Parts: sequence; structure tokens; C-alpha cells
Amino acid sequence: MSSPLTRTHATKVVTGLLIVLTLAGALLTVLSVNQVDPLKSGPLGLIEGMPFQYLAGIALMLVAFGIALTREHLNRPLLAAQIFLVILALYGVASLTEGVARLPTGWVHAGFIDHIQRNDHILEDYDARFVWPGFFAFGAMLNELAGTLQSDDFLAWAPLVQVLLYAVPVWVIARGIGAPLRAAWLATMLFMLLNWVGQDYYSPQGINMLFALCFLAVLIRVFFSDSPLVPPWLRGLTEPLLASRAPNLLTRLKNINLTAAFPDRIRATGKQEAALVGALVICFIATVVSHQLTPFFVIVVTASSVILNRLKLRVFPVFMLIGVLVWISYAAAPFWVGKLEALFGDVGNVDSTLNQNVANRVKGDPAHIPVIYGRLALAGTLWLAAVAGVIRRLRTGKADVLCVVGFLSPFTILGGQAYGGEAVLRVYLFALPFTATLAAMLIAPREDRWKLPKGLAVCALLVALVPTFFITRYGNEAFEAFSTKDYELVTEAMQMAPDNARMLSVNSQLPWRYERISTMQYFAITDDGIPDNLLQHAETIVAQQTDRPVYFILSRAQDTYCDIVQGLGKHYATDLGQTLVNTGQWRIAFENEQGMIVVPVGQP
Amino acid sequence: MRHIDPRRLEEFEESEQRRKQERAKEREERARQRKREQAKTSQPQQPETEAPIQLSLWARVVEQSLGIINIITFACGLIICTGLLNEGPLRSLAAVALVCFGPGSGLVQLVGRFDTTVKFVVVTGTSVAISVLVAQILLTIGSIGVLQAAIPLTIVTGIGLLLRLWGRRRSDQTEATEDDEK
Repeated sequence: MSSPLTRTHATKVVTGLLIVLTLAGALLTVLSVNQVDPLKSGPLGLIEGMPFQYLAGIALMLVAFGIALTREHLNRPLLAAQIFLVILALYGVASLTEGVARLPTGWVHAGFIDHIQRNDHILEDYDARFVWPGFFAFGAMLNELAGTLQSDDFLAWAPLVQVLLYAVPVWVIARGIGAPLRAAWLATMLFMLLNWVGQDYYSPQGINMLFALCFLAVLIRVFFSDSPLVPPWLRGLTEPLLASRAPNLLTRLKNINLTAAFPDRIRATGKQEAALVGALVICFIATVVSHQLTPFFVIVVTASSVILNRLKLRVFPVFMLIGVLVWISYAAAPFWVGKLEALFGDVGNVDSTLNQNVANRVKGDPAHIPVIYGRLALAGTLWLAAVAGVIRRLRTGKADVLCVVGFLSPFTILGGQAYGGEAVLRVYLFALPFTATLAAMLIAPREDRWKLPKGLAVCALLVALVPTFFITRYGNEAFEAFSTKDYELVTEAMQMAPDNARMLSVNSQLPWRYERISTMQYFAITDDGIPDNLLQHAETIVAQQTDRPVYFILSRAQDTYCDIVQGLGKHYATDLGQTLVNTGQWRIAFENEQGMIVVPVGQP
Repeated sequence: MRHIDPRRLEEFEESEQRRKQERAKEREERARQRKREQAKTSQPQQPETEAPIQLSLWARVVEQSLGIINIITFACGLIICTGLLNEGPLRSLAAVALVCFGPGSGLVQLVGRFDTTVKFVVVTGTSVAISVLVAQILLTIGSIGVLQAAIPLTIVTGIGLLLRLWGRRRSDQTEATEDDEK
């Protein structure tokens, strides 16, 4: 038998080895990151432009993480550092290697921010998102503080910063809803590897996810209640019935330990509770003024938990609902007055919502279809694993009621609105902290120490998720990422264009709309569907408003979107530009390796 | 001149020394007891075994770093308010630090000693939320200038810093009074 001294020595040696392994993985990613080439992204996305060493580096860090979880005494600083480094490698790669910030929608948000910064007010009747302007005002304030008129750097680095901030509340939630310590660490890592929806860009939803996570973390960790799940009056009615009809079921139900689902409970003092309620109120009000969907998710989780006797703050959901209704009734009235049919037409129509969210998305280049199916398969597998996790925990005698509430609550969104075809994405994202925890508890339902085979199986699972992450998250990189040359096209057009100009493109895959949104017109000619004759359609659009100078931007990212998603063939956008020039009615005003700007002949 | 017996003087010095040592021991014991009670209040159950030395070190590091964050963000606020940094990456970092950690790291001092992870969640969530609300108020007023934005955030952060200093001084005073009473 080994002495305690020998064991301490062995622990130190293993910890040292794990640190070396983690650092070796990190070093490998640092050394190979300059070989990542986003321009090589194809139908499978960024992974086509990634060197093997980069993926191997992340895999090494994950193996070290998996082995660290098998240790008798968990080394918290080491586990936290490993998660931190893996997040840097997973989410920092795009910010580091792509010339400018990815995702056209982020640039649209930059335009909203620009308008507020220059004019100190929102643009009425322009876009529904302006009715919840909290985030855009925040962006304008941040620009002012940073002393800049451009949001470029914030756009580029927002995903990494936000996901880093998500990590702590995700761990707190996992621990608070009943996960054993090892499962909580694993759940946090799984959250990072399974977060493919990419809503963490510079956007209201990105920042509101942080609010929702912080809100739920404090709520669950501090204001939980271990009261009986079934109220006494209902128990009085059901118990005799079950005792006579299903005595075994009654015994099983009685054996389920609800209070054991809070292994890391915190008892706050009155002063602390008051301060934390204040923090919750602040977080929720910020959510109400900055996003349309997140407050409802938070309300549903809170209200369901109160109904199931899991929370102490029983009247809180009522005040939350009043807060949302007040904002919708007064501040958001321009958004819904006269548009009720469009807003509530999908209520209860889950079939239509699913069609818009799932069936309509499975289209495009056959080589790109695996990305879409990969996302669907990952979501389905995770949800199945979560259900299996609930069952496994029940078999160990523990009911994770809050976890199930958090998992199921987002699905109520599907009964409300298609949300522009993004409802399923939001369901997946909102449920992710809970599904990742349940999946982790499927692997580790108890507090006991893991044996090495289990540790190795977890390592294999985590490593397998690395390519899956890059394919599902960065699968659209061929048209969602922009190079400096794409950006140069837009900036050149902006410099040439007067305030009343019309900016045209084939589709919206451009880093544009980031300034002068109130005076300029931005129009992607296939936004309302692909016309039979695109050339004729473009000329008709130009003829509609002859008083506005036109700048038609055609670029590589648009070409790729035309090819992969719209099925129009390779180089469609740039070929269209050349065809316009060949008609003799248009001329090239500027061009570079990534595309061109064409303007009507005679226009300065 | 009054004669002092050297033996008695020696005895007196020895007893004084002993008394001092006993008082120091008592003070240490009380501090340990307080720590134990605080640990019990914040985390009554720790079913999973973790390396105790590492845990306390970890907790201390996070605890201290929250205080440091408070000081750094306050300094960032002052730098932005006074315009000491022009446009550039450093000023952008200072701005991000102020909005992400400033007001929350100030307000969290109100909560007092608490579980460190929850404290971190409160710092980040509340800071960004307060920043959004300040921005929303400024938008409603119709003026999002640098001073209008930086001043309220810096004030909230500074209040936290003052509370922290005041809280420390008060706890030192309480300790000294307790010792005197003994």
C-alpha cells in the first residue's frame, strides 16, 4: 500500500504532466493558427482551410481535460484554465484569421449603432429591432467610450469575449441544478463544443444570452426551494388513489430525492438576498429593453419553476410579465400596431414553424448538405442524450426538476412564432446549458470518482466533437466570412457614394449597411426570391428611382452564396457584373481580386 | 530613588511576554473560528472532495482579483472621463473593461463575502446590464456622449471601491475594539 507521501508525490507528477499536455496543445494551436486560411473554406466551411495541427492541439487540451476529470482531487484552476484555452482556440480562430468580422447581420447591427451614435436617437419605422434599442444604444455608448466611430473591432471580438463570459454562469447553473462536480465541469466544456448556432456575435441576442445565463445562475443557485414538488392538497387527492391502484409507483415516487438535486447550495443572508434580487431585477430590465425573445424564455423558466415549487421568489414571474407587457404596450407599440396577423399568424401552428425552421433550410449544394444535416443530427442527438440523462438520474433516485424545466421551456417558442425561420436555433441555444448538463449527467450521474476507461471514453467523445464543432459552427464560412478585399469593395463604394445613393448587391453576403442607413438605400436583388432574368430585374430596379445614384457591388462571398445556397452556379454574381458591363450601359468603377463595383455609364 | 528588584522586573517582563503571546494566540483562534463560520454560511455542503489547500488558494485568488478588477475598472473610467487615452486598442480595452466589469464590481461589494463563482456571475451580468440601462437612459434623454456615458459608470464603480475600503476599515476597527475589550 502506498504511503500518503508517495500519493501526494504521484498527484503532483500527474498534475505536472497534465499541465505540460495542456500547454503543448495550446502551443500547437498558436504555432499553426497562421496556417488557417478562411479563403480556402468550401461547402464544409472553415475546416477545409484548417491545418491538422490546429485540430490536434485542441484535441490534446481536451484529452488533458478528460484525464484531469478522473483525478481523485479535482484541480479547479487547471480545469478552468483548460476550458479557457479551449474557448480561445474554438472561438478566437475566426477573429484572428479572418480579415474583418464575419456575418452580414453583425454589420447591419453596426449600422444601427452608427445611426444612434451620430444622431442620438433611433430611426423610427425602419426595423423591428430598433423597438428594442438597448443593445444598439449600448454599442453606441461603447464606441463613444472607446473614442471611435466604427464598431469593427467589437464586431470581430464579440463572440470570443461573450462566450468567455458565458462559461462561468454555465458552470454555476450546471452545479445549481444538481450536477455532480465532475459532470458540471464536463457540462461547461460540452456547452462550448456544442454551441454551433453562432448567436454570440455582436447582437442583442448574444448579450441577452449572457443576461439570461446570469439571471438563471443566481436564481437557481441562491433562490431555490426544496419544498415538495406536489402541493399538499394535490398529494391528499392523489396518494390514496395511487396507493390503491399502483402502490409500486407510489413507493418509487416517494423514494425520489428532490432535495439531493442541489449539491452546492448556498444560504444567503437577508442582506445578500436583497442585493441579489436587485441584480436580478437589473438583468431582467436590461433584457426587456434590448431583446424581444429572451425575456419570454426567462419568464417561462422562472414561472414553471415557481409552479413546481422549486423557487422561493414566487411573485417574481408576475412582476417580470408586467415589465414585459409595459414595454410592449408603450415603447414597442409601433412594432405591432396594425401587424397583429403577421405577428400572431403562426401561434399554435407548430407544423408551419417547423417547416420554416427545418425543411426550408435543407437545400442548396449537395456538398453543403452534410453541414445542415450535421446540425440537425447534433441537436437531435443532444436532446435524446438529455432525455436519457433524466432517466439515468431518476434511476439513481434523483429528480433534476429545474434541469428538465430549463430543457423543455424553450420549446414553447415553437408554439408562438417561426421567428424568421430561426425559432429552432433559439430553442437549441436556450436549452443548451440544461441539455449539456443532462448529457454530462448521462455520463456521470453520481459524485463518485471516474475510472480510467470512463475518462478515456470521455476524452474520445470530446475529441470527436472538435471537427463536428468546426463543421457545424463554421460550416457557412465560405459566404459568411469576409476578407479585407470584400471590405475594401464596400468602403470604396461608400467613399464614392453620396448620401442618397442606392447600394445594390445580388444577395446580402457583404460587410455593408454599417453607415448612413437613414439616407442610403441598401438592396439585395434576390432578397425577395430569385427572378427568372436577374439582369433584366437589376435594370428594372435601377430604372425605378433614377434620382438616386446606383452602386452595384458584386463579390466573391456573394458568388459562393449563389453557388452553395441559391443554386445559381459558380461566379454568378461577378459574371452578372461583367454581363452588365458588356451591355455598354454600365462601367466598372472599382475592382479588386474579390469583386467589382459597377455603376451606370454617365454616373460620376 | 526607588529600587526595583531585577528578579521581579524579569518576572514581570516574562509574564507580560506570556500575556502577549496568549492574546496573539486567542486572536488567531478567533480569526480561524470566524473563517470556519463564514465557510459554513456560504457553502454548507461540499460532497465532492477537492484539494483543500488549492480550493482556498483558488478562492483567495478570485476574491482578490475581483477587488483588483474593481480598482482597474475605476482607473479605466477615470482615464476615459479625463480623455488621457486617444482612440486606439488600449482605449477600446479600457472601455470594454469598464462596461463589462465596472458597475458590477462596485455593486458586488454590497453583497459582502460570498461564493466566488456567484460573485463573478453577478459582476459580469450586472455590469453589462447596468451599462445597457445607462445607454438606454442616455438614448431616451437624447445624448450619448463620452462623458455622459463614462461618468455614471465610473461613479458606480467608485462607490464600490469606497464601500470596500470603508468595509475593511470598519472590520479592522471592530477587531481592534474586540481585542481592547478582552
